[in-house]
Amino acid sequence: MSRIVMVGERAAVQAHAERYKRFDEATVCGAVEPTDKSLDELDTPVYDSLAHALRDNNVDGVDICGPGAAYDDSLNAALDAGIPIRCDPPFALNEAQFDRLVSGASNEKGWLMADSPHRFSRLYSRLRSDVETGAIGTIGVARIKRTAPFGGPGWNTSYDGVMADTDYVEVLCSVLAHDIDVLDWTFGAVRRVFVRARSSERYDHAHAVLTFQDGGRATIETTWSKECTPSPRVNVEYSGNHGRLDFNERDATSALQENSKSLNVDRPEDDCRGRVLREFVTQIQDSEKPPSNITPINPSRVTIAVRQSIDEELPITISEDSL
Amino acid sequence: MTVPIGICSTAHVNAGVYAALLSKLPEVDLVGISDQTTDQARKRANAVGTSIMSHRELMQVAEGVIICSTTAAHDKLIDLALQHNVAILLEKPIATSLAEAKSIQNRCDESDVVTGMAMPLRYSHPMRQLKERYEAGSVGELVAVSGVNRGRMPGGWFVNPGLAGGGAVADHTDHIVDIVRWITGEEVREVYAETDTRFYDLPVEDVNLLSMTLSNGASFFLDGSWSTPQKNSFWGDGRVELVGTKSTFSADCFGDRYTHVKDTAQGMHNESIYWGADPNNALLRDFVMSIQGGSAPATTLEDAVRTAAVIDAAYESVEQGKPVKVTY
Repeated sequence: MSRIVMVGERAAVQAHAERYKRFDEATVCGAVEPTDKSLDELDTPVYDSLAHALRDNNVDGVDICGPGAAYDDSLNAALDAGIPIRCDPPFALNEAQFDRLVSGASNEKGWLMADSPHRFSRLYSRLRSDVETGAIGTIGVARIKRTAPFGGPGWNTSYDGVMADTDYVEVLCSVLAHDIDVLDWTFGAVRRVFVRARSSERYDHAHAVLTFQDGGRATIETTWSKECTPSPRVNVEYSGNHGRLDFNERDATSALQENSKSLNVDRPEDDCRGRVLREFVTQIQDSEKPPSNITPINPSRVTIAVRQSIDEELPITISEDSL
Repeated sequence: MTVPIGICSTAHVNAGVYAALLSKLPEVDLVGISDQTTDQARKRANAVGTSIMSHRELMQVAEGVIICSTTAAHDKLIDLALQHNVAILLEKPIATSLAEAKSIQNRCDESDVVTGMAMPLRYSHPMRQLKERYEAGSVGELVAVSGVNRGRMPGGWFVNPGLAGGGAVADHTDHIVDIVRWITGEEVREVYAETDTRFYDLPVEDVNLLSMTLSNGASFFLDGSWSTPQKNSFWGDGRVELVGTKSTFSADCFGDRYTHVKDTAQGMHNESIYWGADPNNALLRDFVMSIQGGSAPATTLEDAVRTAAVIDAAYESVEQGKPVKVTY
């Protein structure tokens, strides 16, 4: 039985706790709430820091319920303790943070798994499989446009939670990182990025133009409302020289509905987030350490370039030897 | 009293569309279709029951012409129309270079001839509604603009850089830049362009991704790639989304569609059919009205020159590998 400590904002921690409860091979032994918001509905001890949680428990894994970059202290504490960690991408938002984590992880017995849960979605897996088997030929342009990065109610709570500790550029970078991760996973390494980001009282917005190593292009547009929670809206389109694959939110959510409201047909432990957590637990229980201390690295490196592009208003090329 | 109108050249794919619509307008006498190659002109003319003639003959009988030639041929045909005092509705883009675009505008400005660009999106009902809402303040302060105008790769002279002035950037930048300028009243200030040839084996680009800023600071992204598969059920798309401090509005010019699935066809089995108000029809009616002394065509040559400056900046950005300021 793997003992897990969770770190993050209330909504995300609760969502993950609900899934761990359904796993026979894992148990939650504590939760760390970095703000003063209550986690009293959780049936587990709550700590004010990961260090305290690790001191009081025999911990097998740390699940950071959100982007690793927003929980730098917890990442470092878990790495220092040699404990496996899972987080959402990006795990770093600047070169110093990136280098410190990568070099630190290489010296420790712990490891970091930072895939986007999108990789564990059946939809994105099917898209990737089709691309790999030549369904659209060589990629020309991939396009992702979304108004809400995560499905279901409560996503804005997550955004507000991350926003509480940082500025809109970092939050948008964290949002973009999920799509960067999926694009990197599907079409290979990204070579160059150019991004513009804007913020207003009600909306934050970014558009990114990415160039893959093999020459294909991708665009990601993200709009996040800060005052209301619109229905998740997403439009994904992969266009290649032999055709196009695309879906929108209706394709993704119309399998079961009550009136016009989408209902999740997957049980929590078997949706994309459930499957990423199960993979984390499986890796913890494997006797051998993963082949790489940090997986994947590229999407976080690209996200750092995204932030740099926003700051400098220039395209940023990611050197080939760093990929 | 009908107005004698002609189609000058059939090189552009829209020549057949305009001919069919003009032949049904009661206020128009479609007097002829002219072209260098008579086969194509004869086919178009026979389809709508009009005559084929030379460009000069057409200018002598028409009060207005719609120039549907290659972009490189605009220059000479405009001069011919100006010589004969014939009103001009010009297919986009105005020219193969910014310098030529300015020269064309100057020559037209020196004449009294009615001139305008064949830009139908300004007549699109969704776009007009979007403009009304923007001007009423429903969007609030503009934060970001997103546009798409993808299409099937047109082939022919469109992929000849000498005749078209470039590839997808030259072909698919005009409409959305024009409509965003029209709706917001803002100019494109800076362009970063990513282009490539990824879909076809062509001497021009078929990927056209433009990241821009507007004069009010809003960001503006446009995908104008020739990325629509040839077997897609619809030719392409034209959409704009405005993200503002009060609300987000998006308009889809061709959103009013239904699908026809054919059991009998050998070629296209699925077809999306547009049933909304045809903006081309309104464009042509407006051109006829302008010849009759009514309002001028919605998109002027000055507008076209400003779009040409954006296209010019996009190609310069590709050369420099960084964002460039638009020089008007």
